[in-house]
Amino acid sequence: MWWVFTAFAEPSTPIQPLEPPTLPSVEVLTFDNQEVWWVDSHSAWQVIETCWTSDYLDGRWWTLESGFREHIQTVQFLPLVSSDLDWQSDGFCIRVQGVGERVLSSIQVYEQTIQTFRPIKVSEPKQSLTLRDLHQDWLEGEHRLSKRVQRQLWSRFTQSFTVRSVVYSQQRPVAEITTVSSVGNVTTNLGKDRGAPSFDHSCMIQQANYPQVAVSIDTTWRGLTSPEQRLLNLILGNGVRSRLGNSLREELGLVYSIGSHFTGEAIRIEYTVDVSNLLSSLDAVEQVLSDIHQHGVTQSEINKARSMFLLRQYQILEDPASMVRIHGRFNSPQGWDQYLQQTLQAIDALRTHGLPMPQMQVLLTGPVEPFDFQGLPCQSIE
Amino acid sequence: MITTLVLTNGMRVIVAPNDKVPMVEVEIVYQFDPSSVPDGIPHLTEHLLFETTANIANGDMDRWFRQAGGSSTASTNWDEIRIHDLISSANLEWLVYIEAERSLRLCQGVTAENLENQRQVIANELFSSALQANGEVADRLRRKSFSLHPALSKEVMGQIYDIENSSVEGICGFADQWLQPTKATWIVSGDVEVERLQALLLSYFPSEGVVSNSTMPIVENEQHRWYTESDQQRLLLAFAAPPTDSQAESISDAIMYTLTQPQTWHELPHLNHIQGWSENRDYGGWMVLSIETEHPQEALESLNQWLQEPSVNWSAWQDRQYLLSTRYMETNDGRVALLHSCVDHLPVAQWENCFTWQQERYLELPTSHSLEVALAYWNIEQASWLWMGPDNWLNGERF
Repeated sequence: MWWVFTAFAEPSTPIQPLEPPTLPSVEVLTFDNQEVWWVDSHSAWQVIETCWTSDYLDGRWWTLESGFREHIQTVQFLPLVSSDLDWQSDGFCIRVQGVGERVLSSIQVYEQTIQTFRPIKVSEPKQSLTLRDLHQDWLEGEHRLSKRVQRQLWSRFTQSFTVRSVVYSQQRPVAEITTVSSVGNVTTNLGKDRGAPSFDHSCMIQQANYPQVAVSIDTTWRGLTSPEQRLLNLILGNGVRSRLGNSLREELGLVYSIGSHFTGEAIRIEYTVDVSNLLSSLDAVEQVLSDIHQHGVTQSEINKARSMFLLRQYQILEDPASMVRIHGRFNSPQGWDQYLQQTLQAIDALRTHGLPMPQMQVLLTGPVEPFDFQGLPCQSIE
Repeated sequence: MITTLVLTNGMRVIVAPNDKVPMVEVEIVYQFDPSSVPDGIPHLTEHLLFETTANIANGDMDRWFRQAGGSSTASTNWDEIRIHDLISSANLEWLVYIEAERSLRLCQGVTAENLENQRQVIANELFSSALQANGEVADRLRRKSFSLHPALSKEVMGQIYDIENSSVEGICGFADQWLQPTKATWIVSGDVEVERLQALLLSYFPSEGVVSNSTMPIVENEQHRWYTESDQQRLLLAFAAPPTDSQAESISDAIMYTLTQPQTWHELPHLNHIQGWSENRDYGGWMVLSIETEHPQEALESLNQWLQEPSVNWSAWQDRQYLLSTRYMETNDGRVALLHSCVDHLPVAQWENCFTWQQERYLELPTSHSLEVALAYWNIEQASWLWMGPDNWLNGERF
């Protein structure tokens, strides 16, 4: 028989902070001068990511597509295998995952498919993109670049590619299967914008039939390193009790969802708001940023951010596809460990005071009029 | 190894231990009878679960979850509230404590200020949902299509006046009746010892008598058709869906999956894109197709023709389902999803076979009779139509 009693008090054991995880080792194998990084696993699930990279796109926020994804999708359905294609700032990766040896052999099918891709030629590309090009892209929806812009970019994307693979598997790959040859002058020609484009000026896009205004604010923090900004991003906009969530949602009731993410260059704050609350919301964001500038962040917030960062690493450890992806992302087998250590060091060293006031670039989309922004540095690009 | 418990307080618990990482993932489902609940109140109550309780101050829940290496989110459907928690296994007791406060002592903590604040947040949510291509419209379509049905006709978020008219007493009435251990199912995967979890649950939740579940009638589609002016050129079709754990449901899933694959809709004239989803319950459910088209009438004909003899690759479908269930087994989040599906589909006594059932449930090929039964749900003449386009081609009533 169970003795049933009810506990009303908090647990007597204090909350235990998360410890950094132990990351799995990565073995480097070489076949035909191509590096393959092999991560040992203890599961039936297997993942291979193969990336084709080009120096041309290094550091840019977009890559090109035009028909390439569709071309890849012509690969016939492979039983017990699934795949997806990711665009990166410097190329693309195909991740194949599933059960059994078909995962290993399927990469050959993709290699052949990529080699048969033939881009359409375009003459006289424009040399530079303008804000208006990007604006046009927004209007066309879903952050897709217009065909005109696609062509301009894609025509400059003719490069020799380098190839590497990351494998998460119980079975070591064998040379004849995992050798992935360079695909040569592959040109992709469908545009995809990784994140919204960064604008030089604050601006708005009028869409009268939208029910709310979509707000995107890029905040640039001079003097802060990337790890510091990653941490600050967690404090600012991760969850309803972050600085922004607590102020704009919980205290002021101005928004339903608000969040931020670090783009690599800026911390981008995004939310939607009723037009009547637009100015109040912008004031509130500015107030949150000003508070951080004037009064700093608390040790409790830093501890929370540290936990959130470590939690994400455990979630990656759980999922083979994420694990392969993050190894590939850092372009070295040790990359994830370095990233983990650097970020933890940045967390431990983060100054709680003396943080700068960021520069802000605001993009508004929705039923907005110029008179909605009195005193704000916005301009219409129409 | 899956363990199933029905505690003396009536709480149902299903646990799949997994020590891959030192984390525990928990989904808590509170089922309620929507026919006896005022519109919008469950959703408002769900928002208040993240504010205060008798013993937890505003903001502490989130802070504790975060510091304990976890998070907590929730969602509301027309007949259940789902809480999804994650925490490092060393801090499991904190999760149980917080959930006991939410379940048993929410009401003592709710203040007029909490309520007013969340009213405003939900007002914003109502507007925000209109930004989502299918969310708000599909939900309205459900309510109108099944307007006489006691469960499927109910509001999830409520209208703005439902929210404005809500009160602390209304929240407390709902919480006292439905946020109780007798109505709760805990779905757990992760680094957890079943005995310890059981001891914690019995310690923090009191014993209560078991309340019998209410039963729902089978769904009947009301066959309404609506029209609204819009430049979206989107056609929504709402169908009644088969009840859970029927072969008709499995076959219907396969048809939905096949229809929404580019290889299928690329071949169908006048269809530019199709999305679809379904909600199944043991009393039936509903499913929707959202079709982008410039020629709705021709698109419907084209779809109708495909449905006469749907070309489903059953072998590929079975492979895919096997693949998915194997992949889901990798993570606690995926395992919770599989367990949740078993909770929805199987009687408690069969939950222990959940993972085997998930991998085998699609292995049986449909007979001509079972295919016929499933296709009866895909009858376009019985469906509700909502056309969002420039002309009133079907002479529909305004939406």
